[in-house]
Amino acid sequence: MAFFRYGSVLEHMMIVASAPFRIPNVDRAGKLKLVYFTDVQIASVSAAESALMIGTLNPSGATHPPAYCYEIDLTGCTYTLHGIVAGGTEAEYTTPDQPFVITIHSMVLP
Amino acid sequence: MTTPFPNFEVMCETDEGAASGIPIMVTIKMNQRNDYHAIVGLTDDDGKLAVDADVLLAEVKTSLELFPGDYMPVDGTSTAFAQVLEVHAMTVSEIEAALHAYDLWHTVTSYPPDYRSNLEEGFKNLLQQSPRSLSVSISGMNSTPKPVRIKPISIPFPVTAAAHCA
Repeated sequence: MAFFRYGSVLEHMMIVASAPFRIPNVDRAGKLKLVYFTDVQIASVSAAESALMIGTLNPSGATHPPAYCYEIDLTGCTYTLHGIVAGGTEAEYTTPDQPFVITIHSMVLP
Repeated sequence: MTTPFPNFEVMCETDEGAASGIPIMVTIKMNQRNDYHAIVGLTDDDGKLAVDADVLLAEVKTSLELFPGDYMPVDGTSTAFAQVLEVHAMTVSEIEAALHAYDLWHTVTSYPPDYRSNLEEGFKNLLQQSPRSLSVSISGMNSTPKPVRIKPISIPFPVTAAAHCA
């Protein structure tokens, strides 16, 4: 089973600046945070937003849209399935760890 | 984005009196996804620090821009914000983690100009003062559109546990 993380332009700049590429699990203040991901690859920004209720379709208010899709390797990571996203169509998972990045895909607008 | 946060003042004390030059962290508690954490500055010579709601809101905006899928927005209408702020004086290990995070993120996201120097000064102050405990109290909170509860969190030490990392 493959897993995918949707990330911002800024997060992408940090990830590609340091090898090996991993999804960071600390916030700006240095506290551990959960990393959210899913099990489906979506090519377009608008499809990802509606499937996962993120970006401009976030029900609590619009946020920046995802810009990159990372296929991630969860070897050595613990993770939790939270079920289908409320209002969306795909499953949401979290991990407290730092998954490795296998491949990076630039997302298509819209 | 309208601010749901209050302005307030933090007073930080050790077992011996006012704690000056100590970094203060505010946790913005969320009902969904991750909590936000904001490092809001150092206490002054009297152990006090004024916390501006705009600083908390700026942290929310910047974190959302960086990790849009990991956080829920905070505004005056959604229920994602739990209407609770937790406030505590940072420990030595938290300051070390914050310095590492700054080194990780500062090239792609903005921090206040004195952010890193404040953390370094706070680290030095904690080691010099070696308090047996650090407690905070809250005052001067203004009203907000929806009630917000601020929980002061006391920190038991020894603060020098991570001194070898200095």
